[in-house]
Amino acid sequence: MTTFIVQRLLSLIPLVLAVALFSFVLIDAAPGDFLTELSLNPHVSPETIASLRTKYGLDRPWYIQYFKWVRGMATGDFGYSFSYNRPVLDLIGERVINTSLLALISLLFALTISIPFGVIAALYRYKWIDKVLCSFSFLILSFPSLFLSLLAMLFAASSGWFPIGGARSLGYENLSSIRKLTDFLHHAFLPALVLSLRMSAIYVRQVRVTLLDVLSQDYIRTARAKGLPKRMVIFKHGLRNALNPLISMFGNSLASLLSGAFVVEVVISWPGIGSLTLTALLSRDPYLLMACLTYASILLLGGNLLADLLLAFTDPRVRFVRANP
Amino acid sequence: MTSQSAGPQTFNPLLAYDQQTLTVSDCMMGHLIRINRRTQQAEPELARSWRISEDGQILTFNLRPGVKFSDGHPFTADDVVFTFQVLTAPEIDSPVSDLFTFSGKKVTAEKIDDYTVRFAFPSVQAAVERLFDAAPILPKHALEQPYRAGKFQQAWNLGTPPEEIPTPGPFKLKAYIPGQRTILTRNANYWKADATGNRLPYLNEIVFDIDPDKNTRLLKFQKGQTDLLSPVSVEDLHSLSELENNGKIKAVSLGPSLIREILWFNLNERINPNTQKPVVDPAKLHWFKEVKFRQAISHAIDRDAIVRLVFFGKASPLWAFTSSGNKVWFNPHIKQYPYDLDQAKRLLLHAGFRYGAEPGKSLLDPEGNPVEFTLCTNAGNVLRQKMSAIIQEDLARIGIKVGLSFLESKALLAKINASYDYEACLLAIVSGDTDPTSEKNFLLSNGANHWWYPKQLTPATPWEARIDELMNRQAISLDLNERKRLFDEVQVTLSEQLPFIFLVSRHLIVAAKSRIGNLEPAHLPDFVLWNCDRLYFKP
Repeated sequence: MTTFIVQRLLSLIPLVLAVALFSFVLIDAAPGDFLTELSLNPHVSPETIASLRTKYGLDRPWYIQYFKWVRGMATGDFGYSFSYNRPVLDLIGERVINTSLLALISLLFALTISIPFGVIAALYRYKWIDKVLCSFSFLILSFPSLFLSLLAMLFAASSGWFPIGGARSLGYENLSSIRKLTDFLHHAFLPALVLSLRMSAIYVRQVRVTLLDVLSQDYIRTARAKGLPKRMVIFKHGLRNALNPLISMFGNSLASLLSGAFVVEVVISWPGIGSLTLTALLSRDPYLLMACLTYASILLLGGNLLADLLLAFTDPRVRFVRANP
Repeated sequence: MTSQSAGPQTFNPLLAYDQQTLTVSDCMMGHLIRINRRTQQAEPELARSWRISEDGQILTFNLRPGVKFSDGHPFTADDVVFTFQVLTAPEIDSPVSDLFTFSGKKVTAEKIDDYTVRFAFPSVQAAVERLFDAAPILPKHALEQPYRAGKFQQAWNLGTPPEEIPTPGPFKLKAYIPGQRTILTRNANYWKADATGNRLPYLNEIVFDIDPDKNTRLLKFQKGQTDLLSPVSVEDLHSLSELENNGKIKAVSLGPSLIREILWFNLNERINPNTQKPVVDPAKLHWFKEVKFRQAISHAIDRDAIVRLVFFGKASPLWAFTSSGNKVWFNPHIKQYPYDLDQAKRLLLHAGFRYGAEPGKSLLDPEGNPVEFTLCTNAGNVLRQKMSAIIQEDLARIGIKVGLSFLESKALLAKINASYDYEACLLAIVSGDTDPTSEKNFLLSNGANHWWYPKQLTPATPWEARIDELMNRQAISLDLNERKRLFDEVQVTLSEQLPFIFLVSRHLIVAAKSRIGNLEPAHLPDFVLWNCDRLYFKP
């Protein structure tokens, strides 16, 4: 088990290196760099721009910049953000926490919404409630998250129940810790809901299909024949087995949550890694962008690892054994 | 309370590159001279008065005594000398440093006594005092140590504790919450007082929220969560009208802004070093260099339609290099090109172009090639995309086929400034100051932003040589009337030769809660907060 985890963690290194390699090549191929916009400033001479370019190492070819970055990473140095004049690590710390919390809350939302509805849809298959749930999840899936985010903002503005954007109220520093928590959750509710809606829509359909599949299995019929109550059969025997594919999906959803967060964070002014990545990308701030992408890759692999571990926990058939030929 | 599209990137004013950072920093910093945004004239601030020597090369400042930084430390000549030492230091690469560099030589500052500083300029320069508007004065006692240690670039970054940032301006930093908001609080040591002796500023705090999305900023303002919206984009104006009608907010239009939308053709004669081919197709370059061709294009563009359809009436046609937003230098007596398709066709026929016989009647050049070009502009700018669609239709009426290409802004700039690989471009010019000297990068033929043919070694045409001469003469003249006459001629030449085809100038509109007093919006940034020390809330 430990070997397995270590192996998986080690496999993160080549992945991050490869992601970074691609990103450096792509940034290099895109026209313009961090300093291009400065040339629009009538007060700044081309000589100053050239001197800055040398200072930042932007005049070097991409592979030199890449190796410089790899060497820094090896010593725990994530590099330096040109636009903020600060080490990248200082910048992303709090952003990572904000985004991770948002992802966690929306994951909880997604599970609490999708499992009960999925079960209902499966139990009342082809009844009106099933049809309503299925069409509703179709509808949600066809809405782009940009539209959902804007709707959420409009809702916040017209109802006045939720703050319009941001993650913390003015004067947050002076609140008691309980009030801090409720303030944070109050701000997080709408973005988390928007993020979770798409995921719930997928999960509902998944839960419905696998539960139906499981319920038609022989052992369920056996359990029913033995005289176990229906409720017990569905939840203890049926649902537990139906959740396995959901757990595998969960691994990937962490990464897809992040890509959804890009849009949601920008529209709802959530100070997370998504909006920072966008800023870094638009200003071509290479090391900041790398740090954001590294975080995304860690989330992807970490999510998958977590899903595998959970699967081993719930499904006794899955065991981590070294494959001996 | 207001909101910004992006937060500040640093609190170090000498390293501020973008307007968001400058807006926050200008509320905290002090300058020797400030350009009054309203009158566009230089006014004394931390300097009580100044004197320019007969030869125009020595500028002596009389500093204001009794001024203190927010930490109580007195402001003296040492701070001024230190600021200019840092500002002109080559290792800092401050964006301000080039303003104080003249043909490679830097300005030097010398302390005469505690309240007198003398600046020596390497050559005579017109309107030197205006340059000091861009030079925020740093506290020597706080920044000398990081500067000596070679750590000035990292000093006063977003993570610096607020108490380590003493400022001479109306406000000081209270807190910065990453990615969310910047909070400034009143500087009790600020030197200004109003006519009745009350210490300024009136406001206790200014809060800048960071909202990257424009709709969120609008929504926050509509719901009264923020007090200012500046500038207001034309498409948002109608959604504010209800609030305006019931008196909650005030939207002020200042008329044509300093943003001038232009179209130009690539007149670059260079050879692409990679392909060994000219950067512009020689046949096309031949049309573009024909002044009658450019004039015909100008006649064929319906500026009124652009104003009506793109800007909903909130823009004015533009004929000259300056817009009427520029109070001193605007020149209305120049050649104009009203919408006139017949005149456009006449000019083209005069220049040897002719119309094909086929039903489409496309325009042909003297060699019989159909006249077509691609117009590029920046993607994501809806207004400019609409403008280019109107231009495309207008030019189709005189038989010219225009292709449109929308490029991401950095990609577009790389084409304009480095690879020169494009045919025509639609963009805007925005200047740092209203004074013509700040336009020299656009107008001098060796300038980097002389977009139609940048960084020329010798002027390509006689009229560019003439503009160079006029610009250089006005830059060293100390007589305002003479400078005005010289720059008027520059504008006349530009309007005749049309290297830039001037299109429209959008109106500057700002909106604020009606409760805000002393609201005096202006054309130079920051449009509303420039007099933040005098703003207040009416009871």
